[in-house]
Amino acid sequence: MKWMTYFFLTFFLIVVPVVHWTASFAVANPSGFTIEAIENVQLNSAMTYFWEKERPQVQRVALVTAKVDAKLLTPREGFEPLFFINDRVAEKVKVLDDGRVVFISPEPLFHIPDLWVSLEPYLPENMDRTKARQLYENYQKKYAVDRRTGRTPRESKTGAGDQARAASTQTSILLPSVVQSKKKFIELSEEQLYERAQGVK
Amino acid sequence: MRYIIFFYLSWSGLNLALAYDDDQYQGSLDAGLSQWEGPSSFHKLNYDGGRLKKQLIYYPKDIAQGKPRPLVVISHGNGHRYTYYQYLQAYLADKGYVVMSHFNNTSPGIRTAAESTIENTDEFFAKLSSMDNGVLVGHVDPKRIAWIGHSRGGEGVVFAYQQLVQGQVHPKNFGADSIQFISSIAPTTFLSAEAANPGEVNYHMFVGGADGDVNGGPRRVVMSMPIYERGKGEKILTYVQGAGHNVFNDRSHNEGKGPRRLSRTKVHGLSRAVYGSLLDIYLRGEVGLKKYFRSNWARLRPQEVPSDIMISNEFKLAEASGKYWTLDDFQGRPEITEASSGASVTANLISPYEGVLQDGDSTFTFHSADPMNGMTRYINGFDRPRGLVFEWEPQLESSPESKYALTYDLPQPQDMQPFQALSFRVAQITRHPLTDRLNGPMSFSVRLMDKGGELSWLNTKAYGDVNPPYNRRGGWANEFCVFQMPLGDFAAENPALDLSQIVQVEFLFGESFGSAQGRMAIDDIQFVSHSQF
Repeated sequence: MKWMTYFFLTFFLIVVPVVHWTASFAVANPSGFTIEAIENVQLNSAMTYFWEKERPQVQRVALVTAKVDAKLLTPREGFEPLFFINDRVAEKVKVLDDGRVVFISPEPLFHIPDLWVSLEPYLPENMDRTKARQLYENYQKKYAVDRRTGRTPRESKTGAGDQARAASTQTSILLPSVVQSKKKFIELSEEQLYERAQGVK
Repeated sequence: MRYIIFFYLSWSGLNLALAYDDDQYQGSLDAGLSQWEGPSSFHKLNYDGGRLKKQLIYYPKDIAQGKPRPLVVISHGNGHRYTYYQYLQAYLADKGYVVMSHFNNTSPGIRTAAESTIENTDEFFAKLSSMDNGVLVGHVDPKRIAWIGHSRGGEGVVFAYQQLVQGQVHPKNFGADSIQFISSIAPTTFLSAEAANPGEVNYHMFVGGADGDVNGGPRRVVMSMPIYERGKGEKILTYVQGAGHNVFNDRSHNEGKGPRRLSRTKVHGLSRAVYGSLLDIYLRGEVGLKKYFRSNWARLRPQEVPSDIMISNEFKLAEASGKYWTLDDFQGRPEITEASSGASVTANLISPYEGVLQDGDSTFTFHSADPMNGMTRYINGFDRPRGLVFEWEPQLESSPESKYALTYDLPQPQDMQPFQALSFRVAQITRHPLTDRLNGPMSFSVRLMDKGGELSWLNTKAYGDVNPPYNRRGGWANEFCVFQMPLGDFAAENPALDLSQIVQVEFLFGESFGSAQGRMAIDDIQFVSHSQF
């Protein structure tokens, strides 16, 4: 009986409030994107990131596994939907059959990022940082949810002509700390980074 | 209290473990090699020069015998893999070529794809000694290279060539003069006309009428043929009705749209036949094979090309070849009444219109306000390909003299004896009521007149067909078809014709001369010379 009492007290006094609190951190998820995993990687030497016009040399990156709308993943020769992690173009490395994707973020991630998609007709090699930031600002104005109120600033939904679709940052983690320890980096070579991404099942 | 803390920590630890499962990464690379096994007259090897330099190489077993072999490089498209062209690699290796297919960095775009082509070609020559114990060293000719690109890779190989020509890249082991031939399979058109320009290289393009990806619609990116139009070298276009986009490789999903779709097996047979011949022409100098590509394929095509595939083919000599005299290419003089050669033109035709070969409203639906409906030959750039469109209707009574004619009167007699044929390209205009009413191949007649008034005329039917547009959604892009009418045949029809003093060239339309009705485009009317014809 005591045990049962402790269990229910724990559940209702601690677990429930914590869940409610962390749920307020989730960003609106009209498109059903879900980040499943994030791994920060330290490369043993810098690599060229081809997915931005500036082609920056990056040495600290992140591998992000997410589930997105599978319709956005059909490979095309023409313009493809462009995925962003925050204000950076995300390199789509591996597409799995069930709509899950492995991305590379050109910078490490210590919080749950915004994962969103733009349908503007750009090739990654033509997307510069200024334009990316502009698109991200547009996305935030329309779709980013205030974490205190749980509402979007404009309370609008995706409509015809909108070029940025909201993506989720709901995660399978109910705790607020997606936070990676700033010390936790996996050390890999560039080749190993891509092998690791390709190895996701 | 300790139970509360214990439970809380256990529960949170469980969630952390679920979210960050470090065991989910296996680190293995899926090679994705297809299982095709062909004749055993070749070897294949995998080369791994790093993430961006993975290559699959086929080479003939007797590589050490004879002269160094030409190299064929294959650059795949977006979402494709470099292991998806083994049907072609095996065939070409069996013919004696060394064929290298490489990882192509197409996802970021065309510039990275072009870099992949250049860097992998350079890497191949740089690392020959490390491949199969150096068996290829000294046996691959760095001066005889062909690039074949598919889709984004098809635009990439053209841009790569431009970068070489412009001196923007400097590979160590080859140069622009090494590239003897480039072929694009359904290329995209992201880049400007200046960037995606074949220039003077020998150039070929495959286009599939049933392409569901680079679909050939009248919009930038998805219409391929402007790249063909920009070429100034010798060039060939093979438009395959019923071929989708991905059937040109081994594996990618079938995205094709339209009727009478061709199977992968059928397209592979066609692809092997075409590349086998073109590479023999441009890498081995077997120019006799050009006769097939100069001819309208309704009349004469390479033996291995299946006869039941409707193909609209084009051929044009290099501008710098000097082997032709242009009667009218519709460039330079915008008035219908004056040809680019200076000949005066009389167009007794319905609704003649001379202009840029560009659809005016980005749809294939015909409107009278869009006379160039269905034309997908121009996007941007300084050079604008132009042509003439017109139509004719059934005459009330048949007559030896056609009511409808396009007549060129030369300002002075022209000696056509140095030339072997009259060449031109023609196309039916998609979704026009007269095209729909004709509903089949089109024909007409051509007449030459000499200074003494002697006439000779031939019907195009004997030399091929003007194919109807591929019947996708009622009619897809206009397809030009080349005709080459031997001057010897004009002379045979009327031995009194004096080819040294030709004063008039006339195109005749109507029931007495071919199809009773139709709407047509014509361009590149030339007298041409060939070493063999």
